[in-house]
Amino acid sequence: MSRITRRNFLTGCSAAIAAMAGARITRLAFAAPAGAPVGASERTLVVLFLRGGWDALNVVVPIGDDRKHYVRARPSLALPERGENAALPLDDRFGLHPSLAPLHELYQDGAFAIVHATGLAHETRSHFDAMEYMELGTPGLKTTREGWIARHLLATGVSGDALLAPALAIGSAPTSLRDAPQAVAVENLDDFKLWGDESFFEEQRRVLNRLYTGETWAHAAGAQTLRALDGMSRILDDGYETTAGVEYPGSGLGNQLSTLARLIKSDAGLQVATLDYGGWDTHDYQGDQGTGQFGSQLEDLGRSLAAFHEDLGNRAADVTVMVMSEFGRRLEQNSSQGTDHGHGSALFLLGGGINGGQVYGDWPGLSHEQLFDQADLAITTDYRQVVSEVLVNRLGNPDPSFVFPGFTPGAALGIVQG
Amino acid sequence: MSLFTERRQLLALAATAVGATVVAGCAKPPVETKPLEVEPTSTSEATGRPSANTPAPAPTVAAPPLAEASPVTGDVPLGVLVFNRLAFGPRPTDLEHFAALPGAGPREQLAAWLDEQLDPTLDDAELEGLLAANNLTTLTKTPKQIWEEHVNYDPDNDEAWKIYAQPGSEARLAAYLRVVHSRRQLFEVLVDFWHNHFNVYGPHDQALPYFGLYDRDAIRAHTLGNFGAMLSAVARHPAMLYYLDQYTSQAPRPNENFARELLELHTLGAMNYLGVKDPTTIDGFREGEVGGYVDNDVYEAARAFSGWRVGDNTEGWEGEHVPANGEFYYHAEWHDRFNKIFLGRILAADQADLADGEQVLDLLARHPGTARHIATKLARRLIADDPPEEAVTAGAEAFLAHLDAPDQLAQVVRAIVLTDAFLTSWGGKIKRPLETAFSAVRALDARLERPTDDLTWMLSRMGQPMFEHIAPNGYADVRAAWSSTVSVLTRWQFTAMLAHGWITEWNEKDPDNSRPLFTFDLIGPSPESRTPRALAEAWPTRLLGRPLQDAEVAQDLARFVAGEYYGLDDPILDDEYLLWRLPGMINLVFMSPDFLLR
Repeated sequence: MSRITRRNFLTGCSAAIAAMAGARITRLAFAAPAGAPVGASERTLVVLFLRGGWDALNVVVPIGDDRKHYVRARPSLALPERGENAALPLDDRFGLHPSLAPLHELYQDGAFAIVHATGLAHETRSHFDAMEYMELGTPGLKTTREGWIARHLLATGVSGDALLAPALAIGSAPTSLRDAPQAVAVENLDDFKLWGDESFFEEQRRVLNRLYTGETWAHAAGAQTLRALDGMSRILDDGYETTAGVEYPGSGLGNQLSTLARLIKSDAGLQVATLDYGGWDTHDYQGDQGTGQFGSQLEDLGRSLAAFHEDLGNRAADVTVMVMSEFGRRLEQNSSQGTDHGHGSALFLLGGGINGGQVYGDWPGLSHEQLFDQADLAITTDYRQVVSEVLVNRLGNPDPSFVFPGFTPGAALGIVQG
Repeated sequence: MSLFTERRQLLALAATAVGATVVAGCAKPPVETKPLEVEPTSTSEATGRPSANTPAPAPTVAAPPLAEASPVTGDVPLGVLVFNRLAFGPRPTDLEHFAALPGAGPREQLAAWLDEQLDPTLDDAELEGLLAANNLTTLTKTPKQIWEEHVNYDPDNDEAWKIYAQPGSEARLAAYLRVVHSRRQLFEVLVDFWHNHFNVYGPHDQALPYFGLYDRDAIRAHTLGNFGAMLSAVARHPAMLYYLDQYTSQAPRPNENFARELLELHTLGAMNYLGVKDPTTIDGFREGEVGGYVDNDVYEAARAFSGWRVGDNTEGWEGEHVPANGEFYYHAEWHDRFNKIFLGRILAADQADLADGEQVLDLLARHPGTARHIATKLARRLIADDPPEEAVTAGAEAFLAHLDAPDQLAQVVRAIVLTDAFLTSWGGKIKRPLETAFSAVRALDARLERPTDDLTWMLSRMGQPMFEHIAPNGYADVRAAWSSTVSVLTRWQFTAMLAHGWITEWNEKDPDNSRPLFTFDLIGPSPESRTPRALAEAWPTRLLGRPLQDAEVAQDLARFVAGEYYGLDDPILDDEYLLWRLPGMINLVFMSPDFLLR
């Protein structure tokens, strides 16, 4: 029986839409609006969240003393020691999954850094709790009103004259942006407009302005949408092109990062931008020896991020990308050739102001007694430590304890330049 | 002379309307459009055709931060509340029907409506006729037929993937028909609730051909039934066994995916998750009456379910005793035979086949923590983002009082809805995209004769395609998840397409003659109702079941209809003009904050 894969099914629909979106984006123009209020010194933090809990131990792979524990626990999943699928060496302890080769190059150039054995300082192995705690910025507490990005913006103040918005989500708005002032979510830029009979739009806009003059949450949601429409009409222009020679993968992430690069190069005023990438909950058949589904996703991730970095050109120095996930996965593989929910994870930093070319964080080890709950990679660096360093050193946030209530940053890792 | 326009005219109009925008379905490029040139809000005069009726520009809207925005207040007629919460929006006739229900007060009227809705003999002939006319052949197939004809499709058939996908696709199309046309609206709302509660990603590689069976036999069959029976049906269903990876789980290293989501999402809920703890230290452990679960319970449950899989041994690799029939199969050799300690109870070693897993399901289905979790989620869906304690308590008590009743879940819904909290809860919920789309369809009293996946594409753009939530937690049911700019804007775009009649079955060869999926009449028969002022009064009330909250907007709407061609009290006898202008006005009502509320 021939096997139908998800890819076959989706080809009819999503691929065509994705391709179409990509094609349209490259056809459109970017023209810096005259008198743009945002200077080139503006910096943007990009937060890419990998949903599902990625298998950090197969991303940043132990190649030193701990390799024996790793190999024993993962008879089919472990990356081989040498040969085609061997990890690309980062230092004498760790190697990078070979599907992330483009990031390995950036690592050698000093633009890419890794924090290992990091994550949420809370024991939960629930995706949804872990994501909520991380994105609210309050481990163990779900009643926090705003997301951590919202509090960052409240602490630093939001420039009212951003061409588009100070905070932006590509796709759906994550919990980290909850209640962020003037946050905008977009998907396909060229579709971000009213639909219908164009000859009505001016009249409709006037009525909409009246309809959305009010104080309730419903008014706020619509009014913010109207502002975003205005902002987008100032940004969209014909003739935008991705930097010559840059090729994004034709994936969802590739398209989203390409869209984001366009907005950053258009001086849209973004202080923080968020993106989501799902599909990391690899409970079964994640791919032996680093191949398969997991390897393909990593390849997409690496190529997309590298393309984004290159596309930004001289703006790359202003943009710091942070890649995180809600947890890592169990050291030991399960009976389905997959891995179950774990604890410690790895976090990527890429772009401007990074002291790259290093793997940061104390390594807790993988022997039985060194594991969290005798099962998972332990956490030695609270993710809030890393985020705080980025916020303070790159985005001028004076008060990370406002962003993360109850958290006092420890000694700096030194991962971010001032 | 009939004033109703023929569909052909409507089509022609739609096709020629200025700048007919994107009319797109799956796998085809949108019609290219000119870039939109909208002046920023604050610019004053229209650059186009100024007219005597052009209203003064409204001030630029300043958005208060969402966190500081005030709640929505104000009452609506009970029928509006009921049909927006317990249905996919009212059709005009629904509100008339509701108002005529017997009952001394609102609670009695609501009770009478619930009796009607929960009566399984409620006549739904119109829907049945539509379902039959659409020839959705997989809806009535047996599991054996699905296995033989769709899971094991003929690989030489050119349309193999369509055959494999057909059961899931037809379940989706049937759902559209039911939501739009069924009189059993509360049932359809609850079906949607349980689909999200026991979420299976419809397009999942392996679950896909089983999805129709899952919809029919696991969800719809138990929606007003018994929770334990539903849980048991879900846990054994191939769609769920595949989706949460249970089907490969075997001792000694069982896959934990299903066991964890069973506890966290399906039964006790994260609200009863106590984390990584020694289970013997939990209160009530020695009595076998723990209040919540720890990670160890997840591992023990995973062991209890090891060997629960699907009989899909088509290659014959696993020997003859593993069947190839697409049904639930208990694989004894894969099962962990040793004893387990789950929620403080000991499951003895070497129990009979299936007994470990069945005991786990039974303990969970009867647990007070599950009762509270289910009641909380239902109250969130039916009443408020922060469910009122009164309703949660009432629902949980009904759940436990009717544990073995065949209509346990109907009793729970009744208890939650018949609270003061429900009656006074208007304005807290936002319509999600599905509710926006279908309440707009129903408000227009539109017909959906022959649904296609062109509609699926439109729902995907809004972020809520039916049965396509990938993660096991189902679509979010709180305002914060659905009030972003892209979420609001794509809803406005949907209603624009709907009002203009541009949601069509795409006709590749002749796009101008694409068939509109939804048909409705825009023009009433009486000339005196055709003045701009009368239309601007009548339509908001028709679409919302009440006037717009901002009464001055009616004036704006009247001016919009009049354009530069008519006075506000002139009857508009030109059908073509009305059919051009009315969709624009109707969409203004759909785009209003009033229409966002649920």
